[in-house]
Amino acid sequence: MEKNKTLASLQKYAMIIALIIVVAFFYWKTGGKILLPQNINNLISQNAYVFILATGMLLCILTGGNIDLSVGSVVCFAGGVGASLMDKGVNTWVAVLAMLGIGLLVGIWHGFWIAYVKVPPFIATLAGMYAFRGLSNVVLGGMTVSIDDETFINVFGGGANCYVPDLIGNSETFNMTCMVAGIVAVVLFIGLQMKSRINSKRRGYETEAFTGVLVKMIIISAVILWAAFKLSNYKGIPTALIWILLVLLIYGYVTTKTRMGRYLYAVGGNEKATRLSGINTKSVYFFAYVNMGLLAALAGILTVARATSAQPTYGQGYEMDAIGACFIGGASAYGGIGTVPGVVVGAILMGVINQGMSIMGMDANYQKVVKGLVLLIAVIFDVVTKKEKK
Amino acid sequence: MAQGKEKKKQNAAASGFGKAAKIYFKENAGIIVALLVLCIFLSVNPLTSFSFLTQKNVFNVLRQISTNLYLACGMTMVIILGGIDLSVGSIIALSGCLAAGCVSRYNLPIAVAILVGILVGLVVGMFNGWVIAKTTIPPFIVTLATMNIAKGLAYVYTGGSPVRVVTKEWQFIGAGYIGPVPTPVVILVLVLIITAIIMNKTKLGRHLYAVGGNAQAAQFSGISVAKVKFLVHTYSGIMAGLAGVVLASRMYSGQPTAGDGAEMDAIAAVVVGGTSMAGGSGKIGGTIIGGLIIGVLNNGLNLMNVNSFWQYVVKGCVILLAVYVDYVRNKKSKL
Repeated sequence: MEKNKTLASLQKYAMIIALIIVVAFFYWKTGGKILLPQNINNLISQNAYVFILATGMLLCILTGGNIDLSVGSVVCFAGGVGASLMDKGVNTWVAVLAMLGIGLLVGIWHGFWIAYVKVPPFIATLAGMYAFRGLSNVVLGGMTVSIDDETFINVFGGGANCYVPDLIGNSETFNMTCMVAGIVAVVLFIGLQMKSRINSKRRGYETEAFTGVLVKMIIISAVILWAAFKLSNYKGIPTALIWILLVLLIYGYVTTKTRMGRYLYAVGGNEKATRLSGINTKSVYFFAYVNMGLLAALAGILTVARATSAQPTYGQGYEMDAIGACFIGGASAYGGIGTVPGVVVGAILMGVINQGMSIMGMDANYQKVVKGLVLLIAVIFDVVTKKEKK
Repeated sequence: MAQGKEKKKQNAAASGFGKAAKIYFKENAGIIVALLVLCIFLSVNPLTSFSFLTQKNVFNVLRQISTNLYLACGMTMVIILGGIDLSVGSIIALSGCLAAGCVSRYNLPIAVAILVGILVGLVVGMFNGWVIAKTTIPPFIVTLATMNIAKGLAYVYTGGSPVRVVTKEWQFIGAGYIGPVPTPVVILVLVLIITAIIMNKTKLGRHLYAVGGNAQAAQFSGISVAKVKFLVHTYSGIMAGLAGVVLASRMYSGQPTAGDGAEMDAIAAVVVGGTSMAGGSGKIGGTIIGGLIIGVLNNGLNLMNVNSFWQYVVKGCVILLAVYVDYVRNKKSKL
């Protein structure tokens, strides 16, 4: 019994513990460089795509361990189309809409084959992975197209100086707005947590032990405050962070509070039972893949904005980051289990690994090997701990 | 009397063979017609008619098809099992680079190099099979991970540049001839015979269909599902290792970029050949025609000077179309 309990709690916080170990490892290996304000900032803006793609991937994985292998190519294709449009002098917002439109169409294309023709998702999206990589090459003519549209770069967080301007303070070295935003976020977070706790207490639901919740809240608040402090010491809130938060909040809401969100879990838990209870399961698959397409396009926008250019090789291997982040974040390879907050932890871990290996000057090819291993370990861990439980 | 009996036997054998051929053509009528249409189109089309039927081109196509069909042999069995092997393309890169490295970097005999290449495939395949058999992780996730690991290792070993081989004998297995026939084609015939025997005449073959059709039922009837999974994935790995060696020999070098997208061609050959993605059914005979179609299609697109990027788009659509046909056929048979 005692052993089971420790195992359960170990499993619950395993990924947080893994995150701490990985950060400590890179802190030691890079001589503390990984926690410099500038690197915290880069961790967010260079890995924005991981957060966004992983959120979309979570929706697909929830429906039964289905994945989307095409996301890297879609990132490149959407970004490539946008870059070439802006290169031809098309209005910024028209170009952005066109990119999102492409993501939507790609999503509909995959969703159609997967939901209505029952093509196995990894086949449909493997075909998409090569097809859209091919199309990005066609669109870009095999070359790099640079982006010099100021509005686009500023809004989507590219270039060197894309930060939310400091509205409150006027210090050169400390961004007051960022710090205040961090404090507000912590207050909101604690308030919401308390409210939901009080609500479920009043309705007589079972709640976690108060000390546990308190420890969790203190740790998360401390991390937010610490990150806000680090960012304030650099240049403030990177614009990409706004987009990440927006996506996380929207899909956090969708997965927990809406009907479609519950259907996602239901289909992943037991597809047949869900169908027999009168839910249109096809539309659930369709929903997941359309959203994945849309989010891949958004990730494409952020990626090309960050690099201020589009190249036919962009986005290669992004699917590994996204899938890895989901599995690290506790999503089940069989579907039906996984949360947006979990994905955030997974994405941060993936980002730390990316960032740490880059700072160490590790060969990009070793990084590929490491990512493959990380994915495998995360899934094996998930499967093995579930087996023990049974 | 005895002579009559003998004759009858011969007749029976001949008609048996005729019957088998008839069934074969009937089963694969659709794709055989598709293949013929494709070939006729390429022989009359003014853009390709002058080059398509030349001996050089035909040998070229056969060589290209050979490596793809090695992979497809393993892939057919994996897909019948209800799984998928995404790692084959990366195994090609890793085995080709290591085999080429054995010859040019360590001056080992060519036979040893070939063995090393095949061993690389064996090891990766065994790893895939071991994880898939021991755990319940979906095969596409396991092989996606090994795909990245093997590709990364290939780049690490070569530092990103090709490993050149200047030894003349090295080219025999990929670019040479046995009599008038290109060596890879001879190997292909051997591989196809071995695969056909495994699938049709051995216990493993029968178990393969049983596990693919209903793994639980197979387990209850005493078949070791884990063993079947392990062996099939190992076989797929060996085939990929062989393909890597042959390809490295044909290109006179081991290249880390070799085999990019090869899994796609292999899956296309298998699916076009009528093997169901749902598992449990499929034949090597269909895969051969599927491989021919994909090979001729690739060649036709090359001869027509179609941008290689568009070729990916075409191939993706062919796979989807083939799966769609399978879906419609299944639906009909259910009704």
